[in-house]
Amino acid sequence: MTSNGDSVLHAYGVVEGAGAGDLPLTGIGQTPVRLVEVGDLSIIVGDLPPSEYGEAAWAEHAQDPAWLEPVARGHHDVLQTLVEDADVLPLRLPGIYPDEQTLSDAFTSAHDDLIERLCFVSGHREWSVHVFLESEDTGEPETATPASGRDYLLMRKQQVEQKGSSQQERQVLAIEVYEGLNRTSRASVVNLVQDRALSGRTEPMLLNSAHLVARDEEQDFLAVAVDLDHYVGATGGLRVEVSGPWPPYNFTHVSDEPRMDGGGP
Amino acid sequence: MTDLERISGGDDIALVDLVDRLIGGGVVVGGDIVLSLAGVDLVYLGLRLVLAPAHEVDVAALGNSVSRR
Repeated sequence: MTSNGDSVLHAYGVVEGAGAGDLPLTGIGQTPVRLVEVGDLSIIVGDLPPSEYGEAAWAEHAQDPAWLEPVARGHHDVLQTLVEDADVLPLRLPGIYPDEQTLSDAFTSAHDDLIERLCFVSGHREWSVHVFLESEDTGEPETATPASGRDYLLMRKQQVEQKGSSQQERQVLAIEVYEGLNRTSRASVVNLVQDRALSGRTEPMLLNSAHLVARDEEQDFLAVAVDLDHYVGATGGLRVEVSGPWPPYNFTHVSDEPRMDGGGP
Repeated sequence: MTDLERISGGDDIALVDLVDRLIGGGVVVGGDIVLSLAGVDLVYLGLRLVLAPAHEVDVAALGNSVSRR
């Protein structure tokens, strides 16, 4: 099935050694999944028809959610199955190689770097945290009718200042959530908050972070998240949402320092 | 509903969460990947624009997210 022009190789992820626990039976488009050994690593790959998933297909369809969604979900499902009980390094989309030799050469060059990255995530999985503003207090404060135009302007100024300070207080609470969860994480990443239109949520998002958590500390991490949810809910009307475990998509860079993203160009 | 259920979003994974991870994260290996990194960024930007109704998109924020690496 290699290098005959009838298929391209899609690379899903990398595991150490020759085995990957239970290999999912199928990946993108219900095609079989197999391993290609490269040194001390195994690359999880699938053989895909070029007409549907090759370079031209990517160039033509990559911005079409109807095409990309099943590809993304197929890619993710394979990695998600693997990460249940094995350490896996997820590969970025698109990961198409024309044949097995090309793939093998590329991963041979990257071999030592990939080992280092696998060591960093070893025994850990990613958890996603979103903090939303649950109850936005949009009601104007009850105040006496202003006696004059000047009184009205003073009143408005106070209202705007109060609103400004409460927004700052909420942002501080969101940072407290991040820092609290970072204490039970090996590493943490702050990503840009998702646009309301993209998240499909009506509530504003105040924090979008990812945390690399040891498998045997996941219950502690979740307990901290529950406590923080109670705290910021009572203090600022915020809500903490956690999803996971994920393959460590956000932690494929080797670093012990928290990486602060989203600061703009 | 337990506390844990309360903080867990539903089982459904939003496409934007997937795309942010699968195109914004993960390892890049080799020079034979069909789309250059710049190309990936364009896909990402375009996709995010497609996913969101045009009148609601904060284009400046999208630009930041694409150039974040």
